[in-house]
Amino acid sequence: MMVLPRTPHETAAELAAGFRHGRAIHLINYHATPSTHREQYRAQIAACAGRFDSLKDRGIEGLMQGGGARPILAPILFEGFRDNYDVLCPILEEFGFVGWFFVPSHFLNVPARHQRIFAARHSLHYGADEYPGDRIAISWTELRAAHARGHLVACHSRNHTALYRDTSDEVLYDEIVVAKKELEDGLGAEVNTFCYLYGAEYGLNPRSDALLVEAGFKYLFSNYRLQKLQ
Amino acid sequence: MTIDDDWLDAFEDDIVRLSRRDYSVTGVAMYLVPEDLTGGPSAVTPDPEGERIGKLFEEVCAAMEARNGPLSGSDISHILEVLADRHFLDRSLSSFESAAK
Repeated sequence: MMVLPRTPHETAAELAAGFRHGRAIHLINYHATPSTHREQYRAQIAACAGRFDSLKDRGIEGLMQGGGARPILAPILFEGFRDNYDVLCPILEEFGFVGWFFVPSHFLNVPARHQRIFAARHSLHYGADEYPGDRIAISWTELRAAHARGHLVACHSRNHTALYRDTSDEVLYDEIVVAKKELEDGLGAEVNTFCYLYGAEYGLNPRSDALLVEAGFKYLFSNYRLQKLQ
Repeated sequence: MTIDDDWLDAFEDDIVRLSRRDYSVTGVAMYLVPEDLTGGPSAVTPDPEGERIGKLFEEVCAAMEARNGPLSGSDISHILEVLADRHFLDRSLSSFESAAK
């Protein structure tokens, strides 16, 4: 469930002002990307080719600052599913784009035998099971390979966890600090962007806000905003 | 642009159509606003599309509030989703979903 730090009316007014005086960041949000939908994804991305720049060229600051001749397309790959790597990555690369993987770090460390129950217990939804008897999460090897080819990686908490005003300090530490270390250890590179399940934004929980900054996250990706924290 | 009842009906029809998709396997277009909380001078370069989307977003929010009462967080998401679906490209991004069927 989405929780906002201010009223929806106030939020809408802020967003309208943000669009009018800033930029509109263009995302396509994906979760599971099964091969049954390959042609749909390919048609979408093909239609975007030539209309948008790649996130690879101008990075997150490019999204924040704008200024290019064309807007940047940010394909967001939520949840760390294996089919993101098998199905969507090749399509993105075919048309010169890179994706931005939002990974709940612990999902990748869950043994294959237990990944489906982990997914069921942590709101990680997917369609048909295309890998019966095998893992459904992207592997660390695949994530590192994608990163080496220019795809971006963000921390989507440790266990795909939502933020509320009363989320305990222990949970916050695990889902922010431990998650960052776990993701960076597995990836072998720094991760500077965080996103909660349901996309809570800065200002909802001051303890979370402080911990995100203390942990070294530079950006918070939320439902309506990409917020630069430091 | 004037938002009349017919226009708002069509917009709400799009909300219904898009929100009934299976989000777990669908590519969903969405707009975000960049927000620099560091307090430094803004390096953001305003763009015409942002201005156009901002104006339209404001008008749709006002029209939906007038028709349905106070907005919810979900209303905001739905409005942004329809705007993104309609305005990313010359045709709606969701129209490509038929390619998989």
